[in-house]
Amino acid sequence: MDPAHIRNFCIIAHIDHGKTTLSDRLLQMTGTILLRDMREQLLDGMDLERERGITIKAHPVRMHYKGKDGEEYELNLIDTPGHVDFAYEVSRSLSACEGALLIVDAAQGVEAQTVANVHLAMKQKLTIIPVINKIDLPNADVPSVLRQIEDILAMPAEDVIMASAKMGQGIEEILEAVIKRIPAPRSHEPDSLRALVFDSMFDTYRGVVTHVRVFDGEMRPGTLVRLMRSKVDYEVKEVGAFNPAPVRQESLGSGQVGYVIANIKTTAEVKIGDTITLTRKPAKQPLPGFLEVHPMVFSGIYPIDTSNYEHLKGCMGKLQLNDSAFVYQAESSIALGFGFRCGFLGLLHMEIIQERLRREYQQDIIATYPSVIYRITKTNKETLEVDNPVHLPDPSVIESIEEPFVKAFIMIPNSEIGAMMALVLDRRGICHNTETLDNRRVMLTCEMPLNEILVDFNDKLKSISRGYGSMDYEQIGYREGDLVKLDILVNGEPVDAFSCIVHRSKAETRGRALALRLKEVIPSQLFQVAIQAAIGGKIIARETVKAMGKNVTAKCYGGDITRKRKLWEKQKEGKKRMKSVGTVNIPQEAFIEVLKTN
Amino acid sequence: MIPAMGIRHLYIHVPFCPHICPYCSFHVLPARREGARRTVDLLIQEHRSIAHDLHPDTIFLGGGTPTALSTEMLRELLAQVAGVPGNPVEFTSECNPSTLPLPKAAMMLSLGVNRISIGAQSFDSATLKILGRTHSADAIRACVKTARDAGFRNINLDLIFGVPGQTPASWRQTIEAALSLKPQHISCYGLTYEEDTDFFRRHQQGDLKSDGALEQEMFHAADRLLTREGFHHYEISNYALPGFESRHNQSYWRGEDYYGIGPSAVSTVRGKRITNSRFDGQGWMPEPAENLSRDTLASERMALGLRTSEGVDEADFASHFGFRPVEKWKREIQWLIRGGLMSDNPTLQLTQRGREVADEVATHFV
Ligand SMILES: Nc1nc2c(ncn2[C@@H]2O[C@H](COP(=O)(O)OP(=O)(O)OP(=O)(O)O)[C@@H](O)[C@H]2O)c(=O)[nH]1
Ligand code: SF4
Ligand SMILES: [Mg+2]
Repeated sequence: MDPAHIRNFCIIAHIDHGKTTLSDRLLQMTGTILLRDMREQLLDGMDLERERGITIKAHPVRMHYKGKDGEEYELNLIDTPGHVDFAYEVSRSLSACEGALLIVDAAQGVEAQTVANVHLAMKQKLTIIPVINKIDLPNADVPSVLRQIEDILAMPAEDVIMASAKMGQGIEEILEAVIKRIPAPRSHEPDSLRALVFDSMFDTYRGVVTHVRVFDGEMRPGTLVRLMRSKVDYEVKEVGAFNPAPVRQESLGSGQVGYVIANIKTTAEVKIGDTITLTRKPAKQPLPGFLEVHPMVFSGIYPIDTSNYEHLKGCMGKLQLNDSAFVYQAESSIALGFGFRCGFLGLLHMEIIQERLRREYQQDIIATYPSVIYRITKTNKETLEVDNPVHLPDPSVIESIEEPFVKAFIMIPNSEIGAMMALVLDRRGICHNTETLDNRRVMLTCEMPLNEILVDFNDKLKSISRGYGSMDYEQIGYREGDLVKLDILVNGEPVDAFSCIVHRSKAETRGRALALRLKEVIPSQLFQVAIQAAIGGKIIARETVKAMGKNVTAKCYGGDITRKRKLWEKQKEGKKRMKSVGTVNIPQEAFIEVLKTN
Repeated sequence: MIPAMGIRHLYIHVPFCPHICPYCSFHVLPARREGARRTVDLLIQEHRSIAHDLHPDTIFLGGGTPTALSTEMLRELLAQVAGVPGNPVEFTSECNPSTLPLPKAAMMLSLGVNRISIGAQSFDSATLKILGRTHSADAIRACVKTARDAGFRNINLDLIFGVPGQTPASWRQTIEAALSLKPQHISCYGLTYEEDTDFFRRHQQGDLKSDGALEQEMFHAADRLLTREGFHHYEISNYALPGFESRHNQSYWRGEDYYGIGPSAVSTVRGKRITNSRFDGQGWMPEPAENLSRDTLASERMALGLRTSEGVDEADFASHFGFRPVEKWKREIQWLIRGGLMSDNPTLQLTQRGREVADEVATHFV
């Protein structure tokens, strides 16, 4: 394909503004998907994506479009996720493109990730096409949103396209704008090959499938290529494009987006951001790669049945092949046995990994309370980083504990400033700046401990603002805090899965709430169960789960013992789904409930 | 003693009841003449087919309500059963109050039945009503009198506790009322919500509530009141005056072989368990046999034997299964003993607390 007729763009927006739905319409209009194969949010192919109605992974797809100028174009679109946890997916996708469609919801207006994603796109010098979507909504407020786009994003109102992805309005105009406004790809080192690896996937049958954007040169089956950073050579086995299913092509040329299959065995061999070049005639300069993403949230994942450890390990490996942002490492716990310490980009990312393990891999697992990385200075001046409360040294040898802070940008309606500030304060944050965005909304810039926004801050923000608030944040370094470890003991034994590091001022309330909640979710057992919360060895709360009352089945008539045995077996099966800690069976939900207790 | 040939325990299932109780999960059908005729014919046929392998010490005619059959049909069935060699020292028939007229009772006695088990359930009219029972406390009294008048000297009353709305006080009154009728045996069952019953659905919907703590109290009350009157609490749900323990039920708990005939009946014979299908209007068929492995039998022996006061004798167990219980369930047994749920002196058995949670304990052995 002649690069002059190629356009590469991604769709970016705040979560739920309609990126995937707009992709549906583009796929339909360009005839990429036949009407009968069409289903809503087609690109959200994973079960979890469909169920939750959100995009988790960036999805590339190639379309063909005949413009009003009569020319045939190849359009490579990448639909991206809107949630903060997956911001790295957006930045990678952007680096494979020359332009971006920026979607803004006509009722919600510009939100925190709208701003964040525009910044990302601008940094990469992409052409941005602003689109106001959902203009069909009864509460659409196009004039205000136009003003916000001008005032907050500094984009001229005349550039904005009006659309309704749902009703199919404005789609052709968008396609025309894509071919007119977005520049065609240009080659800088035409003599060699340079293809950027922006994602990779593991396919059981075909091995590692790398997603690439070719900047210079061409690749076809048989081409001998080199990964410039890892300096390993491969022979290309197959190249292709996404339709959205992978479709084999003869070649991938300059400007094109597609996939490459070489005999790469594990995704560990390919670093996302690496450049593929020719073995015989390597390019002078690799393409700029990506900053490595670092997990921010850590949690232990343990098999309920300890004998499943090896199996779980295998599943973790497979998951990681498709999600390089997920890291794991073996650890063990006194209460829970052998398991893994896992790192995630955020809480949603954590939930999704856990859910995929449960559903796609049928693993019965429990997860420990999430933690950030703390920096400890001991009295002997030694320093260490701790991502698991269990490893916190004895308080007597701790000189100071530092915790990660973030700068949070919170957009909310004017009327909610008071309530929002109170929430920030309650979460040990400080507001530095209040900026008026337009006559209805303000942006608060705050500094807060990451730990405090991890679990339920976003939910609180949404409820305070009745859905009209949003937040973006970035890490800004470490600060000292008066932090203590809160332990939960079950029948006198500390259960590390429930331990957390909290600010001293909150430890007692939290301890009490946790003990109470656990009492409610731990079913009564043969013996009574004592639940205690302790700070530094001092018990601050105690609850008791009473021993079970009568539990005997009815008359066993006419020797139908099999039926009775089945009943016992079922009862036993039910217990298998619980984690036995000492002699106490703790249901999976208890580990989830502690997350919600605040 | 010369061991008798053949299987020594027989269960006969008569699947008819004049009225179906909303908590009942047994295979029961509304009593109708044609169905009853066919059932009796087939029962007689099925009995004939196993007769060569039968030498019963105990027979249990259950259901359902066997006395819902007409006197004539019941006579035919009993005549067939009585015609087989054996020495049925215990031959029980279940009955419901108001299904036992004197002539029927006398006929039953004359054909070998020597024990009557009456589905009394409660003497409290509110509790009877919730249970959907159509009889009254007076009907129970009358039924006991009829049985006695006919000559029965071994009478059991079935009682139910843990019924929604039932109070410990009303339960104690029911026990007192039962005791005043001087039965030789009383069974006290905790109400359970079995799948596929009306009660199960209502329980799931939250419309009927169970209360483990209350049931526990009633369980204790029964033990206290009945043992005080000389009853022996010989199995979780069963109390008897000395010498009147039900041998038929003991045979199940001891893991002995038995034949079961009739729709939905179960036989366990020489390592095979066969369950009959339900009555479909035409008849019933044995379903594919379950081969019981040594381990399964051992588990069942533990789970059931522990429920009885005679318990599981370790040496006897080892002679059957080739290993002692502690060899397989060391951790479980130690833990249960330490926790006061089980004792191992002189045999393995549940303590009073253990009996309250017997099903939970059983899960450790299956
Ligand atoms: N009324 C109306 N609803 C729309 C329109 N476009 C999308 N929606 C709805 O908005 C919701 C979110 O749409 P998605 O396409 O999944 O949004 P998204 O931006 O891809 O979301 P994430 O990928 O999770 O960030 C869905 O319920 C859509 O049906 C539109 O033009 N009009
Ligand atoms: S009388 Fe007994 S067998 Fe008949 S329906 Fe009622 S509970 Fe079931
Ligand atoms: Mg989406």
